[in-house]
Amino acid sequence: MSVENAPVVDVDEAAIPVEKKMYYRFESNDKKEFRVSELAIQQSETLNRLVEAMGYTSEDVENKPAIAIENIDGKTLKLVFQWCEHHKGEAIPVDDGSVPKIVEIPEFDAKLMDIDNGLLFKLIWAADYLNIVQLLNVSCKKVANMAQGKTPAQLRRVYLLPSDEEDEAAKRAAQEAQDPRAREVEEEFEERKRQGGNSFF
Amino acid sequence: MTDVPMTNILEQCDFKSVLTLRKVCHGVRNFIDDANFKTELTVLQITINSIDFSFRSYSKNGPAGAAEHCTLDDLKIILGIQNSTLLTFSVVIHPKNIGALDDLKDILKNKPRPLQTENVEIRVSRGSQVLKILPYLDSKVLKRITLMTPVCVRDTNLDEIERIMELEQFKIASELTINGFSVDVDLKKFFHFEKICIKFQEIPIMDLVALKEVFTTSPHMEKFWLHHYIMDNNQFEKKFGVPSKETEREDDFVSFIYKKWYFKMQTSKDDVLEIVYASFGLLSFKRIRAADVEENVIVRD
Repeated sequence: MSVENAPVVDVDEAAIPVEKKMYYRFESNDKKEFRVSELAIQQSETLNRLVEAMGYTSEDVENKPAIAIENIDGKTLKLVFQWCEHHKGEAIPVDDGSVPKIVEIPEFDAKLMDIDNGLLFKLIWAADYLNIVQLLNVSCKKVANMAQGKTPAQLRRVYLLPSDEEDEAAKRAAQEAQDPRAREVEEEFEERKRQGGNSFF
Repeated sequence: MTDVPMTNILEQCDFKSVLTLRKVCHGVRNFIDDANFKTELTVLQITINSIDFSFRSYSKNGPAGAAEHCTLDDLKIILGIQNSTLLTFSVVIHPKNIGALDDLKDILKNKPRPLQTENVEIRVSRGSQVLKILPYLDSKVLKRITLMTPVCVRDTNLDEIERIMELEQFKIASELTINGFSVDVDLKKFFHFEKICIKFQEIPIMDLVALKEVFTTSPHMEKFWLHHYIMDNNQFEKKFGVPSKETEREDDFVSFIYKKWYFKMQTSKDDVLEIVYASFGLLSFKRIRAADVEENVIVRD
């Protein structure tokens, strides 16, 4: 199944599912609504517990407000639910402590994660928050793979991290806000953060 | 990012990437140094050279990183982030840089969690040097201890063996190999090992009789190899009887005599004790399957 064909869709774009399964409604912090199948939700320990505790009937799902996920935006949540729908019914991996973790990135996941670093960071954060073990594993694997064969300077660019010197300069700038040069350093660093979104570490 | 994804990323990084990540910034460096994440390493070999250190490491996928001319700080980092259980930890010490062993001892001693390894291989010229490494390994996971001399040192007495034998690591390990050293202690003190390969300066015949008695009643003993043993045939045959089998075999154009004795095991009908003496100086006691004993060979009670 391709990423485009995955069944997670924004409510305003999609028809009502034809399958006679329970589809829960979730809402992101920017008011995007998603319908997600019961089976797909099982990939998320957090959401699965939540819907179990709510004990919704099919009517409740339609009549009550969508379940709000207040700290994840629509763009990220769409990726999360696409992943869950594609992998619904699959066993959730158990961490047996083996190192290195044996994690393969399937083709679907690779395409899904063909996104900018800022969104990848948000996806990892969401996978951790919603406790989606395998999504966390594959997304972290992607980040780990990005480190291979790189120098420290290259890693700073990849992961949007400041060097010790830049970090010190930013701190000094904060302390010496009147100093125009320090402010310049701080502004440059802030601009880099804005361009790249969040850093991984 | 929270600790869970950070740890997940680091545990999926190869060892070289972890070391490089440490150099990126102090935030990452502090996390790596403080977090209890597991590395991919299975084998870590440290060599104390005449003036510096070098290391080699391996993972399940093959070589995982190596460096020459390392400093003490490098060694601290490498050992500091090693939190998973190694298959083998190996230390080779140049006889002219014994002082560096104290530095290695301090690193091992000050690790928040003792270094965990199933096997330890220590190549040293004196037993006292073993005491600077062995006590600082986690005795709960250590299974095999191998002590070796450098190539230039041979047939030397292993000093401090009594103190080594008092270590928890020595008492709990199941296998011991001592190569290049000879030991001058009571053979009976090694009876708790499952497998042993060692050279005694002298073994009284009654100790060998005791070894046979313990072996045939022990559920755990698998193999005792006693190197450089020169047999007094009359004395041995008085206690163990004539050999059940005697053969002559040519190895590398030199002929050696092989004598074998078999004894029933009191703990298992499926196993027997095979004692083999090879005239090049090896006496071995070994548990073998009774089915593997040749027909028409005497197996004594």
